[in-house]
Amino acid sequence: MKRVGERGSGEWERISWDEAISTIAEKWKEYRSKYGNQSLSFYWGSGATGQLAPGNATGLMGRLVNVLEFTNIDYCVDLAMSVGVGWVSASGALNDITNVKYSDRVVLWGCSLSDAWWQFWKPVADAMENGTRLITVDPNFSTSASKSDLWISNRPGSDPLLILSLMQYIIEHDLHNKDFLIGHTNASFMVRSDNGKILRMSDLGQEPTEGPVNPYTGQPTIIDPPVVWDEETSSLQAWNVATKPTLHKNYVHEGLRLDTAFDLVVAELQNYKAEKITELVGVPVDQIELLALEQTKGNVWNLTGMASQAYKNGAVFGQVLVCLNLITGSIGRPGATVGAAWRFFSMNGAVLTPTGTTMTNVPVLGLNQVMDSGKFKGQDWPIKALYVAAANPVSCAADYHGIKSWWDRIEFIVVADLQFTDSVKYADLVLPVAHALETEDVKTSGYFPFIGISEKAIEPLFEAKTDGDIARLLAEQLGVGEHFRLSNDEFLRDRIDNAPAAKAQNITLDRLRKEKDIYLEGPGTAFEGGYFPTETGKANLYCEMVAPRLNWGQDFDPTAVRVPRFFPPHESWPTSEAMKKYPMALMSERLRTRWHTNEYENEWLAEIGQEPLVKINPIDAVERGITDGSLVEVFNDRGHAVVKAEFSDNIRPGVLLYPKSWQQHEFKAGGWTELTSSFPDPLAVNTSFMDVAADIRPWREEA
Amino acid sequence: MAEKQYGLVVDTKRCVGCHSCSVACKIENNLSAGVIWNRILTNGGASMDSAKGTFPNLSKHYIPMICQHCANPACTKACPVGATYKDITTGAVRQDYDLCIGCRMCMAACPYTGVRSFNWEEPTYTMDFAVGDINVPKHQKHVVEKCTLCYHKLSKGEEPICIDACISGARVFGDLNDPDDKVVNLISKRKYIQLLPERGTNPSVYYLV
Ligand code: SF4
Repeated sequence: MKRVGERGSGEWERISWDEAISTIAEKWKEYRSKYGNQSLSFYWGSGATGQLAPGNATGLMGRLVNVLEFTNIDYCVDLAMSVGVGWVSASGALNDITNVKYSDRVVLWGCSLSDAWWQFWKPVADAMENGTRLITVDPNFSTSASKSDLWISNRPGSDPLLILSLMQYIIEHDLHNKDFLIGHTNASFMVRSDNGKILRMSDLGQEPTEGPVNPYTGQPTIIDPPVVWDEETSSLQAWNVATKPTLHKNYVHEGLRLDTAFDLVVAELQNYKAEKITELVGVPVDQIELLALEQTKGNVWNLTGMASQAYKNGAVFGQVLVCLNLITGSIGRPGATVGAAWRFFSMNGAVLTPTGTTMTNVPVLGLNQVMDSGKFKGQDWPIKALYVAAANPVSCAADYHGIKSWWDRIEFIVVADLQFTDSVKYADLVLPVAHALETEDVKTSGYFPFIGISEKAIEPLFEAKTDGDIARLLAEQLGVGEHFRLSNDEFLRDRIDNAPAAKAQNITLDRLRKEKDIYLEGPGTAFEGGYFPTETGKANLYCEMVAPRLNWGQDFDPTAVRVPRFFPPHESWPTSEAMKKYPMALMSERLRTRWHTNEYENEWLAEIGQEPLVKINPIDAVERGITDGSLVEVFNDRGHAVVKAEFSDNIRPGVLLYPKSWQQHEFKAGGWTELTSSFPDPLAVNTSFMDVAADIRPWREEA
Repeated sequence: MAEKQYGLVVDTKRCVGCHSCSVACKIENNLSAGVIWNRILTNGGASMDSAKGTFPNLSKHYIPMICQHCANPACTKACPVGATYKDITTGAVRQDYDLCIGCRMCMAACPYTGVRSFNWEEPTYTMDFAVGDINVPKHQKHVVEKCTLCYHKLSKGEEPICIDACISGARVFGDLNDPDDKVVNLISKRKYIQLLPERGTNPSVYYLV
């Protein structure tokens, strides 16, 4: 279909596939020759994931984008936690949910497990029957909270502050695991007072030596060991030489004051004593202490969802949560871990880059800046064309007006989808895509410890084509057809059978076709054995230098989070400018009948579903003259949404909670995407969906 | 007494109100637009997911609600034509659409409001073809219908679709007359309630609490 009226006017003309493909190919060729490869951009989401599907920039579409060296618009969603975890651990927190049976305590952080990640609930419920205690930290009384043995309601965005307070309590009461801290973290490393860096043997006059060649750089690694205070010899020693490193020591070496990393951390933690932060965090002191004690009871899994990381302090949330498990030593064993129940199966990546060229990541949160300046990392970066697949940014990403600002400046937009989404509405050319049941694919996802086949049930209906076929047609016309003349079968075989992980477990496409689903064997616990792939194998309780997830020239301080410390959210915090004007914290939850906006037209699900609404504590509602079930306007500087108010005591006073995933036409006016913010946290470069201040008032329709 | 009395044990500590059972039932039985045999109720506040009490002293449980397939049903006695009757081999309370005259006496007699529905009009569907199991009787205008305990599956030795569909392991199916059955075992070990016991219907759905 191609647009014939203004963009968004709803006037369309049906065209043939031939016309659609040659229109796209001509435009793309023209832009590439005039403005360079980067003028073509690709935006994907998680609407269709598989090996042949374009979500996660995989499939033949992903291959095309790499061959043509597109700009890949990084969607900046749900990535902050892993950034902070990475600072501390140099790896991701990947766990197998079935290990929950070994947990004595499961603490859910910003995770309405039973509503958002249903597949994880049964293993947790099974564990509970065998004595695991479930604890939920959530401002609101989620369904998970209703199932929990203990529910702690805190102020939105205060999770890192609460965690720091737990750490302070645990250390003050001598409940921390000193052996673990010395053996598996850099807590005993000495830190220089002049520049905050970890003291190294070269600082003591010992020349660094060369280690094995780093396979990535081709250069030998430099070995310059960090230094600890060795109590055995009462002297400074290399960490791997000392026999009795200590956690507490300050020492002046040739006029330079040195402290253990641990002492610096403990000093910072004094700012977070329960009595000091109780009001800000909105949790009574006795509950903070109770939660701290629970953290010391056997194997604790601090299990995270996506809410706590959706604030400006999202990466710090990941950082401090790992640190909490480090100080209790509850990490690296089945059931004793931190992070979500993620597992990944790494496919053969080479399949996606047959020419060795790749796309370039440009974060969506910086896209308006790129459009304004025409530059990215100092280079000319004119973006002229956009291809959207498996995504509906207009109603799923944050800051509608911000999105529209860059969207409207792109000359030629193609959206490939199977539903008429809000993003389709604003396209120039629409391609109807086949459903997942209309093509064979292999499914694997972080959400479950399996790899499985998704069988083809029927031929694509009507004129729909699979994403792979669309990529093939485009490739031929763009002169790169030679890399796309492989069948789906060949593609899948190469992607799976040649993946190192598949070889290790003898997983093949043939086996998948026969067995349908194959369980992914271990390692099922993050940081197994307390080993971290850092320079020393120890976790960075002290993060000497940190890097942002994506560096696109933004200002950031690589030393800002050396010791775990609290940074307030951007908007959703009592001291913020935004909250002075808009005093309510606006949060979202999942709608049980949709996966983002997928299935919005499904009538079966609509029967058990809701309409757009906002949940509000009756205290806040009555104060504002709002009645239950009436229309209200939720608003801030960026925009508004007009929906029904639902009184609910589940909601913490001061909070507004909305089930997300609606299309624009379902609202009385506006939409949630209008209210959310695209403020880019410079380190995580992640969308802070929850970090939103708003207010609410009765809706009076203009005559 | 029926030879067997099939029934359900539903663990309210596990049920998270996800509605998977409800949707699976809708598809398996090709239910028409607006008809739901398996509803999820909330023992909480006024709306689907809200809790009972005042913040922060709250509680919430979901109660999946289907025909209770009572051992002593009120509906069968009320039906003037024997269209709703107790099946001798399974203990299921059945509804014969061909015999039903649409008088809705069963609906009035049943204390479990909402488990039955009446097709005022010719049933309409989302899909233009029937979905679910081919052996499900065709839905008719002017008859009463309700959960059949997936009778079409029972006769093949299978369990109702809602059991398999439950994401939480909250629904367990079995023969309440068999002392060795898992359902009997569950209710002997755990605290449970039956709905409206004072009505003397002895429902075959037990809710673990
Ligand atoms: S499927 Fe299971 S958990 Fe979901 S509503 Fe039904 S009984 Fe409850």
